[in-house]
Amino acid sequence: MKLFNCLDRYLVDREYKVTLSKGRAHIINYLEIVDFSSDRVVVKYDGGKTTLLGTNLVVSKMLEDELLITGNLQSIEYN
Amino acid sequence: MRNRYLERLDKYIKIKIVGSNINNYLKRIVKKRVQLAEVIPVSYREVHVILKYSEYEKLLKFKSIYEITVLEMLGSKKIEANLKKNGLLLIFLMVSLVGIMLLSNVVFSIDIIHQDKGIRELLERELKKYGIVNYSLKMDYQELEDIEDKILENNKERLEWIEIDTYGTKYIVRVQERKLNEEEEITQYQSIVSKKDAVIVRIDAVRGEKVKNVNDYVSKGDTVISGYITRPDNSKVATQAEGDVYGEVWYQVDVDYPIVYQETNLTGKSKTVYVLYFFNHRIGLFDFDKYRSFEAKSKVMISSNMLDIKLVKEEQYEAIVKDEVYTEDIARNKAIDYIKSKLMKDNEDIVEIRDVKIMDTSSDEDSIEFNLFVKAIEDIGEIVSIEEVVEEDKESDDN
Repeated sequence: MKLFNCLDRYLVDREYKVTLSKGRAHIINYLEIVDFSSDRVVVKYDGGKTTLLGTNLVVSKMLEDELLITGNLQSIEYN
Repeated sequence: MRNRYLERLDKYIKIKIVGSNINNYLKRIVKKRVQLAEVIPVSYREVHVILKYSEYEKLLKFKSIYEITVLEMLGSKKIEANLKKNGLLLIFLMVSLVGIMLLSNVVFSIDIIHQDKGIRELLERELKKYGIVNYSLKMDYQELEDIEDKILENNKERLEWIEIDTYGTKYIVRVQERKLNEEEEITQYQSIVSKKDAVIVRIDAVRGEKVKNVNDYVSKGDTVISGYITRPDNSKVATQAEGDVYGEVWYQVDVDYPIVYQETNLTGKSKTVYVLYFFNHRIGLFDFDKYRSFEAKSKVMISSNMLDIKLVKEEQYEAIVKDEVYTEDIARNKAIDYIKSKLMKDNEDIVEIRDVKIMDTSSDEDSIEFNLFVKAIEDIGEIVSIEEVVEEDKESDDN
């Protein structure tokens, strides 16, 4: 079982991650989008909330466990 | 674990959403947790969205005032749509491809080329044994080669060579029959000799040894094709010489040709006429359609010795009389033609009169005499029997 858990952890990525690159934020393993507008996106995850602030923000991709926010990102806050 | 590569094969759809406040609609989409693979903003009123087909169906339930248009299918949905659109065409294409492949690999006819019916029937049976029949599947080159070898192996005494060629959907079978030469039994030992003095113009030797050549002069009795054959060890063996020998034979003939020539030919017409002879006058009674010339058989009916009167019954046969007077040239040509035809008629061995020359000419009132020299090509071969050669013992030779 331990081995299975190790294997499971290795193969399946369940950790909440936010990857920021130029003009885009890639978020995986989120729970839901609480709020979004062109200058603010609030994303809820297991341990809290993440707020992305900027301009011309667009939810380019929204899958079950994956999110891609493009636009002019200025700041990110964790609560 | 998500497989990003296999995801591309999922059923995706690209749609266009048009409305007055797109952001509100997008918020609603987010709240409803509709998954979006890609959002492409076009303008404040229009946005293109790529999403799964199942998510699109969810979207349609709350589209409200917003206009949603399908732009294109992606992934397996695209393949599905294309198949539906061109399905019938694809089916026909597949069926025709299968049909062509099948038909081009089927043999529809087999032609066996040989004039002997027995050989053709034999080959039909042999080919059937190895599965080569009409409407069977084509075989490859190696298989045909193997079948050819097997057929030849099984029919060594009858077949020399066989070839099976493929021409489209037809097999053409060519075959060569094996013909064994039967050994002829020698019944008589003989040589071919010349029966006349001649110059040899041609020798066709079938069996035997040629001892003379073309342009050789031979006398009567000279051997031309010998029945004795010399072996490499210089011993002789007797055989039955066979062949034809042709030579140029010379003739000297005299022809007396008439200058005046008369020829009478009966036409076949005849009639009976009663003729009165009265003191050397001849009167035909009731003979209105007189023959110009005729031959007659007469029978005296009434005659008087005291008065020169007689009544004769004549059986007249109409004749055509040909009178010709020849000049020397014409007489010469006619004499030459005459001698040629006479020689060929009288001598069956003559095959050709090669030349006729006039050696001497003499003439009198009625005829011209020609002395002619004639060269004729003639079969001069004659068979003579010979003794069989008996080989002497070596010991006696040594002795």
